[in-house]
Amino acid sequence: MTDDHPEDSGTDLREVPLSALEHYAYCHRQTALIHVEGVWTENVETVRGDLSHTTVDLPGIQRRRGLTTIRSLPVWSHTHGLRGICDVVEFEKNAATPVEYKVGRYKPGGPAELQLGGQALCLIEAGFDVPTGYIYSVAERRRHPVPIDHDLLERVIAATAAVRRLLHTPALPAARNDTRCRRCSLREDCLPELTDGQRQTPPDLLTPRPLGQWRD
Amino acid sequence: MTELLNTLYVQTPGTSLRLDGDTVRIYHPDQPGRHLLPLVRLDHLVLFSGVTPTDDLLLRCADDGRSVSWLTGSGRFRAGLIGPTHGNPLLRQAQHRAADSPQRQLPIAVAIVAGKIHNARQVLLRTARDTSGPRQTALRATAELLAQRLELLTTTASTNEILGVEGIAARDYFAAMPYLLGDNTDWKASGRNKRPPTDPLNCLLSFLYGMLRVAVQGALEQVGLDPYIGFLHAVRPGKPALALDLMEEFRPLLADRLALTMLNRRELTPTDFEELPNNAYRLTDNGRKTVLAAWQQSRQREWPHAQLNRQVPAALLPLVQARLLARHLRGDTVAYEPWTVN
Ligand code: SF4
Repeated sequence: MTDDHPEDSGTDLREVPLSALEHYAYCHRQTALIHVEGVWTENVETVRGDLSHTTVDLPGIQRRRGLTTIRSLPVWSHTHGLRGICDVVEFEKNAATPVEYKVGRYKPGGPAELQLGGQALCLIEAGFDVPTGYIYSVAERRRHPVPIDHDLLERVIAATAAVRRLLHTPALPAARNDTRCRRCSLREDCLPELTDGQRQTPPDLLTPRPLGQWRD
Repeated sequence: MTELLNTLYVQTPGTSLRLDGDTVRIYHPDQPGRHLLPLVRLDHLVLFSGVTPTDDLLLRCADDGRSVSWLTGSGRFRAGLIGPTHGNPLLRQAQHRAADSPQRQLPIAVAIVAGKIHNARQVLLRTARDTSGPRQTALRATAELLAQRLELLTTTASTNEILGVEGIAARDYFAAMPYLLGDNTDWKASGRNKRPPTDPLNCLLSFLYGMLRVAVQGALEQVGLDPYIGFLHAVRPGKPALALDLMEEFRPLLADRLALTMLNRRELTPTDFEELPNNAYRLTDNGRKTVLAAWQQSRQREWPHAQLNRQVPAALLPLVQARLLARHLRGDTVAYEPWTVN
């Protein structure tokens, strides 16, 4: 997770944490709940996620036959106002290869690719060639290559601008209340059934009620 | 569904708690053996006097956003641990603005008092169902009285008036305590008195309200609301007005009913209380242990939640209501709806 410290960056843009790109691709409200409301539910999935991260979270450098592997590498882009930490980046000559660790199975075209693209954007700005990145699925115990192409980078740039607008907006986006909510770790905070923007009728609180059906 | 996390209550003086990897290690010289609890299962540590946590453990709790509270033997809140509040200034701003605007504030205050009256009526009606004769008549009459108090809320135009209705309803309800206590001659009810409580029922209620208060305040802090800015209770230095507000709807069913059950079923006996020379009552160490065990157990119990249309364990109700309030304050819902059991 990354913090937003505009004052110590060299950019006038309000910074967007790289992790927010992935949240944004999943659900706009989720992005706002995490990055504006400060909501973070430690459900089983995120706890498991943290455990899988513990091995890569320790900063470290490893050199082997011309390949340098760096864990927890801080990256940024002044041009696009992005900042974050890469799980693992492998450097070889002038090429950099980011590897993002994910707990679940790999989904081609899924939200994680946007985050990986953001990392690539930062590494490119730092002067490296980034032809490919990988998403390592802990569940499958294998890495999936993701080509870093023009199209992905364009999507990252557009999403960054959209997230920045969201961080500036005081109101929260309405909940989607669709199938995605079922797997969402913020469901209990979000309450999508009540917050999907369908106006609810205010409850009648002032009429006495009979004994309820609660069991003893 | 959020996993049901536990609150760890530690009351034996001389106990030390230390961080051991991702667990808490509980140690007391008289109770040898390894007592380990995984931290991921705990959302709150409640410590009574004489219990010493290590700074490692406290810092870890602060990092994880886990609450730690210190209480006196009578259940009064003494201190709490607050981590780096990476909370939500926009939510607090919305809370403060709503507290300042009568159009936003009054409906929330009405909802809170209405919720409390609905739930108090449930306690009365439920007990009346299993009784007969004059006792049943008295309980039903008080329920009817509360129904009328509820209707008074349709015309209240200020927090003072709303508090007035709350006060009258509370007096009616506590006047019915003898009928709720039944014909158990060990106990007699004399209305609500506190500071200090001068009978066992009030002593027990004060203790349980203390437990409820830390649960509610922990929930408010967890969702990032300011416990000191309320909608019903007046804002005063050192007074957690919002915690007191949110407690109201829970008191009758989560605290009062537990107290009455414990006394009626003789789970507590007069020897669990000590009477001090000035007529004040307090729980003995043993009595407190019994009450804490019963409170812990009652927190597992599931209650219907009409707005969410599902069952919610008592331990999560404060968190659920704090979230519902936060969602209302941030403009996601049109009204705050209190938790009522029917
Ligand atoms: S519960 Fe649904 S609407 Fe709410 S944040 Fe999650 S995905 Fe978005």
